[in-house]
This record gives sequence, C-alpha cells and structure tokens, in this order.
Amino acid sequence: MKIDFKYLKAYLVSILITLVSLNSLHAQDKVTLRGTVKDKRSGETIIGATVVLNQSANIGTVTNEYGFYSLTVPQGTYKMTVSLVGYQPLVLTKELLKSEVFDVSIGEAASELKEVTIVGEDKQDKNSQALPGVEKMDMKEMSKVPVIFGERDLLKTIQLLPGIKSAGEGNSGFYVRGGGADQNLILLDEAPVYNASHLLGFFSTFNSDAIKDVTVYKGNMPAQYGGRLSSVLDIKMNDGNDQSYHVSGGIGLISSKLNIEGPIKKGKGSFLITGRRTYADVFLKLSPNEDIRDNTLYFYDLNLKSNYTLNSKNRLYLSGYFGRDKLGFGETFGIDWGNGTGTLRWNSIISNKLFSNTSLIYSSYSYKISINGSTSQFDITSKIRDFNLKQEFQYYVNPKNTVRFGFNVIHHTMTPGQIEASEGSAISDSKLQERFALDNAIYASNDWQASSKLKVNYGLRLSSFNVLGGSDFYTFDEQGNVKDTLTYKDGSVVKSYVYLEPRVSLSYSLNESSSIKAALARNVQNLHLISNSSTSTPTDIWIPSSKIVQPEISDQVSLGYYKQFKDKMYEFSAEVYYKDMQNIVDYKDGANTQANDLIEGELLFGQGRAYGLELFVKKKFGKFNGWIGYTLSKSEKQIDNINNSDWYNARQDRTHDISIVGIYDLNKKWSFSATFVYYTGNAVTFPSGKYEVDGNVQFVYTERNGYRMPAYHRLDLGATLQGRKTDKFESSWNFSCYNAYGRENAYSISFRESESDPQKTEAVQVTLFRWVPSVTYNFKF
Amino acid sequence: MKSLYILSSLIVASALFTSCEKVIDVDLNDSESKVVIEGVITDEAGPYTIKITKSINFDQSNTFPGVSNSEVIVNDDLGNVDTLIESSPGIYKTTTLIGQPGHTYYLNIKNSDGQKFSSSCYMPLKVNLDSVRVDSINFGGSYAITLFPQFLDPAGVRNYYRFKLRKNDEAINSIYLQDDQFSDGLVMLQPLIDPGADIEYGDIVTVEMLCIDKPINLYWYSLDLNVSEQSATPANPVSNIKGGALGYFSAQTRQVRLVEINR
Repeated sequence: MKIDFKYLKAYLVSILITLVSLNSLHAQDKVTLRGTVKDKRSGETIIGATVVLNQSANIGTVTNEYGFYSLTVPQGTYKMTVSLVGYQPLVLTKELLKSEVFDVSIGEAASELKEVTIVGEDKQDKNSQALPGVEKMDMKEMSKVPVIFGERDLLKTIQLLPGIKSAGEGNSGFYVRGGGADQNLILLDEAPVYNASHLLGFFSTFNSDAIKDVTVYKGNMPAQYGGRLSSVLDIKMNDGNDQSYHVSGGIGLISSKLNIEGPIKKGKGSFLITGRRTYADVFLKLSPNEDIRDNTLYFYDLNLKSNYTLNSKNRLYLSGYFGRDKLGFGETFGIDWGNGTGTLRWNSIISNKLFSNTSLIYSSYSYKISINGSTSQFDITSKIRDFNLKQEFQYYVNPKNTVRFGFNVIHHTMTPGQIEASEGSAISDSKLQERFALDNAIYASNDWQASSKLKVNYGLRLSSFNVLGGSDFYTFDEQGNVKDTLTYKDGSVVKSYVYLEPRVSLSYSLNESSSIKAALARNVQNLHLISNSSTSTPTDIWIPSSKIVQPEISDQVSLGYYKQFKDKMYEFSAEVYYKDMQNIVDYKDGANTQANDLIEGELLFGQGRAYGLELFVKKKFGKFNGWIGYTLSKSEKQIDNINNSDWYNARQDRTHDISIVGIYDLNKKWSFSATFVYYTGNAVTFPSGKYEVDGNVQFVYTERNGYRMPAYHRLDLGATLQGRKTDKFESSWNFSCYNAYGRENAYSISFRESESDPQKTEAVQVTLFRWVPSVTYNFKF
Repeated sequence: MKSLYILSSLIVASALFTSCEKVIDVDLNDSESKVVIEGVITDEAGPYTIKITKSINFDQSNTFPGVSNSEVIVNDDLGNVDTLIESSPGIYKTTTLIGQPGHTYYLNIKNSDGQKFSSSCYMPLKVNLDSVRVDSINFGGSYAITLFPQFLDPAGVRNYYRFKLRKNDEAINSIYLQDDQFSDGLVMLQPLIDPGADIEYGDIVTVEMLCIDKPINLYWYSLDLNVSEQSATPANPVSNIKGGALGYFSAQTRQVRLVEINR
C-alpha cells in the first residue's frame, strides 16, 4: 500500500507542474467559453456534440461524457456552431469579451434533414479525426436492426461490427480482436458488469431503452480505462427527461418493459426508472400439471437513475442497475444469479477550464444454488463484490490540448463458494478461500490537436494490483498437489504487481476526406475468469492475480486507413492489428474448475498472439443505409504441456467473419431491415480415434482445437411499422424473423454410439434456432 | 458436489430451449493406434484381470483388438509378485495375488514391441455402505426415481467413492463420483441422479460402491468431463499409467447391494 501512495503523490505533483506551465503559456487576453449541451426536448445531456468557434480558423471541441465543453480562445466575435449527426445544427454569432457560461440546447432534426451534410463539421470532422479502434453505436440505428426474440440488444448489435465477434448462437458474449470473452471490460455508468448475460447469454443484461451511449474500444483504450486486455465497452445510461413526464414501453412475445422518466424539478433534475421482465413462466402457470406450475423461469432487470443540478457548477448523479435470473424446479432445486451496480457521481466545475468528476461505485455479481432435497437442504453462494472510487479531472488547457488525469481505487472481495446447510443435512457448512485485492491506478492523458491534420491522444496508466491477506494461499508441486499452505492475516499484502501501461493513438488527415491512423497500447488484466465450459454459465467465477497467477499482459499495435466519399455519404475503413499476449490462462487436462479451493494448481500459463485485418464500408444517410464489415484474423496460444507445447488455435480463432446490415426506410410508416452474418466455425477439439474402457466406448484426442465447427451463417429480417405520431402519443410495431432461411447452424457437435448400429460411432449436431419469428409493440406518451 | 454444478447448468440449459438434433458426417483424422490398459484389483477374491487392447479409428466398427504376448506383472507392498497369464487375447489374469485394503499395488507391462508401461495404485480402506435409500425427486413435473447410498465417511482423511448402477442387469452409463470435500466425517447421503430417468417401480437396481484413490478419482472425473459435453476442451483423461498408454490401473474396494424399487 505504501508504495502506491508514494507513486501517486509524485505522479500528481508532476502532472500539476506540467499543467501549470501549460496554463501560464496561454494566460493573456484569452477568454473561456464553457457550458453543457443538451437535447432540447428531453433535457438529456449530449455526449460527443461538436462545438466550433469560427473566426479565421476553426477552433473546436467535443462535449465530454456529461455534455460539458470548454473552449479557451482570444477575445473576439465568433460564429458558433453546435452540431451532432441527427440534430438540427445550431449556428449563432457570439461576441466573447470575457469568460462566460453558455448552455446550449439542440433539437433533433426532422427525418428529412438527417440526410443533409452537417455544416460546421467540415474541418472538425469526427470521422476523419476519430481515433482508431473505436466504435460508436447509434442507439436509433440499433433499434432498427433485427435481433432474436425481437429484443433489442446492444451486445448482439455490436457483434455486427468488424473485429467484434459473437461467442456463438444467441450468445451475448463476444470476442474482440482474438481475445477471450473475459477480456472485455463492460462498464455501465462506470460500474464493471461481471456477467453481462441473462439466461445463458440469450439476452444481454442491458435494457436498450435505458441506454444513451455505447462506445467500444478495441484494445487501444485511452489511459482512463484499464483492467482488461481486449476491449472496453463503455455504456452510459440515460439521465431521464428533465422537461416533462413520459412513459414508454414495449410488449413482446417473451418479455415486456416499461420506462418512466420525468423531471424532479424542471430543468434542474430528473429521474428514470426502467424495468424489464420475461414471462415465459407465466405460461407455465397455465399448465394442468401442478408440478409444472410450481416451476419458475424468468429474469428481470431494473435501471434507475436520477440527477440533480445543485448549482451552475455542481451536479449529482445516482444510478443503479439490478438484474436477476431465477430458475426453479418446484421446491427441489433453484438457482438465481445476477448483477447489481450503483454509481454516485459528482460533477464539479472547479474553474472554467477544470472539470472534475468523482464517482463512488459499487458492483457485484452473485449466484445462489438452493437444494431442498429429501436428504439435504443447503445453499451454495458465490459472489464478487467491488467498492470503487474514481476521481478524474479534465483540464481544457486550450483548444489544442485537453488533459485528463485521475486515479482509481478498487477493493475486490471474491467469495468463490460458500455452502450453508440446514441442520441434519448430509453436508457440512464450508467456505472456499475468499480473496481480497486492492486494484489501484493513476493515469494522465492528453488529447492533442497537434496541427489541423494531426490529432494525438497519448497517455500513461500506472496500475498497481495488491493481493491482500485474510485467507489461506497454497503452493503446488509440479503435479499440482499442495506443497504448502500459507495463512496471511487481514490487510497484509501477499503480492503486488506494478505496471506502466503506455497508450498512444493518432490520426493524420491526408486530405479533406481521408486519413491514416495508428495506435499502440499495453493493457494489464488482474482478474481472471475461470470457466471451462463452452457456453457462458451462471457459475463462472473470477479469481485475482496471485503469487501463482501472474497478470495477463497484452501489447497491441494497429494501423488504419479511413476514407469518406460521395459527400460523406459513404465511409470506408481498413485496419490491421497485431496483439501479443503474455501469461494467458488455460486449464490442465481434467481441471476441476468448480468449487475447487485448489484451482490455482489446475491452471497453466502461456502466451498468445492475435492479428488480423478489419474492413468496413458504411452508407451513412439516405433511404437505404447500412454497412458491411469483414474481418480476416488469426488467434493462437502456446502453453507448455498443452498440445505438446506447440502453438494451437484459440477457441475464438475465426478466419473469416462477415456482417452485412441493411436498413431501408420505405416511407414514414414502414422501414425494413436485414442482417446477414457468416463466419468460420470455432476451433474445436474432436476425437481422432476410439477405445473401450469399463464397457464403454471412449475417444482419443490428439490435438487441442485441431478441428473446426461448420461455418455459421444466418439471415435476419425485420420490419417496423410506425403508428400515427403525435406530440402526445406514438407507437410502433416491430416484426422480425431470426434465421429467416432456417439454416441449421451447429450449436454443438458430439459423438456417440450409433442408434441404428451399436458397432458404429456417429457425430450428432445440435441446432438451437430455426426461424424464430417475433413481434413487439412499442409505445410512448 | 462437482456433479451438482454440472447438473445445475444442464438443467438451466435444457429448460431454456428445445433443440433439434441430427446425425452429420464429420471428416475426422485417423490416429496412430494406442495401447489401452484397463486393470482392476479389488478386495474380493481373485483372479483379477488386466486387459490390454488397442485404440482404433473413429469410423471403424467397435471391435477393439486385444494385445497378446505381453509380459504382465503385478506386485504389492508386502513383497508378493504375480506374473499374469493370458487367458484370451489381451486378457491377463492374476494367479495368486490377494487384494487387501490399505496396500499399494504395482503394475509392470512389457509388450511384444518392447514398449514398457507401469503404474501403481493404493487400495483405500473400505468404507461400509450402510444402506441405499430410494426416493422420487420432482424435476419440474417429472419424477425421477433416485438412489441415495448412505454411509459414514471416516473423518480426517480425504475419501473418494465411485458408484456404478445396473438396472435389471443393464448398465447405466453415468459416472458417479462422490468425495468428502464438504462432508468430511459426516453421514454421506448424496443422490445418484439418473439423467435418463429410466429407473421404474418394480426394477431391481444393482448398486456397486467402490472406494478409490485420488488419481483414479481424477481419471474418472476427467473422463466424465468429456462425456458430459460440458468441457470446451475435451482431452484424454488423466491416466495413472506411465509410458503413454490410455486407460487406468485401479486398486479398489468393492461392495454390491441389490435394491428392489418399491412404491
């Protein structure tokens, strides 16, 4: 612990010195214009709106995650433009003699206007200046993309972007640039979400109605993010309408949702409550069989958020998420699992140029299995719980430099398993070793507009992970047997890992419409998911780095080319990346990954590499729009004692991956959409021979992941019928068909004794979904 | 306990979707034929059998060739040495050895190609199977007749148990493993869940209880990981035989109970 504060202090001092010197260079005759950009109708703050002050040269910035902007310019008269795709740009003349606060509200463009090229963006173009490896998802666009069961799902939709791949049929898990599904940091209002799937991954935990903004960083995240190797998925919830009360909702075949929002005090504060529940189990209640009626199967989630503006400089936000899956078979067996998060944030404008955000964050994931058998009654619970303090400053030095710096302290408690038995059970109370860790980081980064052509984001993150005592630790011999048990007392530091993580990304405009981009990043991951199953299961557990488990490290370089053509109607990008990974985790043959105190003895460590090419073409406007994404990639691992210590394909290795999304707005009433995906089957292990033991046929395996699942492809169709739209009420019908041509995609392939000829062995393919039609009714008033 | 986790995820999975199955052609590689050794020493009267066969390719018929003319020796920690006699191709039988709980047995094999294989296994002390309870468990509307072996686990030592079930002389293929990780020194009463729910009233079920040592528990556990299709990375089970053979060498105690399933 001592070591961290020493670092922290020295680091902060040096940052402050740099800032002060930067500041003093530009002190005279300059004024600062700052404010918040909001949506005119809902009062929602707008993220990523472009604010430009135009005199002779363009001076501009982009609003931050709280809609805040600050621009420091020489005194003078400016043409001010505030714009964002999908909004009517606001243009006005602004005379700036002294620093002032100027809040702006912009309104959504009428649909016809969306096709108009946005003025004021000419040189501050977001697309040509955007940093590489960053994907933004437009929530409106997303609502038109067809998905399974008609349940809009951001995790499924981002899987249609290049470099982000689905973990399998109906699975909300995803792989980014050859990394594992546990290498994605999923943040909901800054709170990490440990298991982002409902019902084994057929739904994601995110109710799209409550989501404002989704950004994915494919490995080269800015320095304020850390803790996972492959990506950051940063999800921000809506704040709630602070102008008037609204109720909206949707009624679907298997779930319904309701959203209520409104002002706490008009223009000052608002609240939002969004709930969703599936009701497959309601049909069970109709069953004539009493025992079936007693079964339960559902999930629900609840998003809550409220915010209040204390004064012109201070604003508070409180947001929370709670979701739970429940499955029960009468009284006998039950399992429930879910996440809970809470975030309390305080935005403070310390000066015209200095924006501060302080967040207190709680997040947890837990599951509970209840057994109520005739001979044993007991509960098994498992939990990971974080308390998290985050402080960030954004310093708008001048229009060319925006500095972010701050720190993050997370305390993790991991309870991998605990059994509580009732009296007289054939099982005793017990608890697997708990783990405690303190996960610290300090960081600083600068968004630097080096010239009108060159934009650079560079930063440094210093992470320090401390495994804390309070439980027993084991050492193992080469066979994985316990050699020693060491007990560390509460609060003592068992092991510390300190890493410097440099992050640089840059964009250089070749001309008005094209640019080249490059990025370099190191990421360190100290929490490791233990799961040896092919699907995401509720009983996955996380373990921290320790004396035995080293932090996983990745170094990624990427290079890209971007071009826009036909009046920015089309966008094209190509990106290549190479990622080197160290200390990645795999399992010994026959590893017991469940309820195992000695799990560290079952692990093996090695290296990985992933590389690929991502191509993307998008038509952005017009009646017909959409995109095509293609990824050519390779992902491999080399771990001693697996596959004769040779390199082998990672499970998520996929040579080709294509997604095509098309949206056609026929008229004001009807819009149609289609998506098509094709990808090479996962690398899997199949038998290469058979033998007999104990009277049963068993299989011989020769190499790890040496076979492929069949290629996967699927077409989904969707249609939206917009009802009559008035100021008071609007509604729409959404129809979709998942897997429209009924392709029998392989969910799993297994091998068994042939039913027709017991002398033979056969391969059996399991297919989950063919033609899943659905209809949803959405309303808003 | 482990089976409970597997069971719970199976139940979750099966509750969620009805899937469709079809037999497909998969082009599998041929592999070099490997030696398979299956040796069992029990505390019951001999002779005990060591079976040596070879693996075959996936598309061949299930006839596993026996490996003849091997030199097979089993000895114990009391100094007894037994050279086995081949009674039929690949089947080798002991002549004098008497298996006893609490002793370690050593297997040495040299086949006609000169390949050598060796193994050792400790036969745990016998834990007495007191009774087998029968109960009908409600799995969401359908009832599955389930057997619960009841016995007192000895305190202070790690014990591993394997159960085998036969229904009216037809084997139920599940691998049932129990251990005392969470119930050391207690009366064990854990269900043997029959996934096919094939046991019916009127059946006679043979319950076989084996006390096994840790490496043999790992062998069956890792074999079961492949069988139950839960593993993302199936692999050959962790064998206690050195020299590159598949299979296992187990010294185990054995008890058998016949249970008549009555209403």
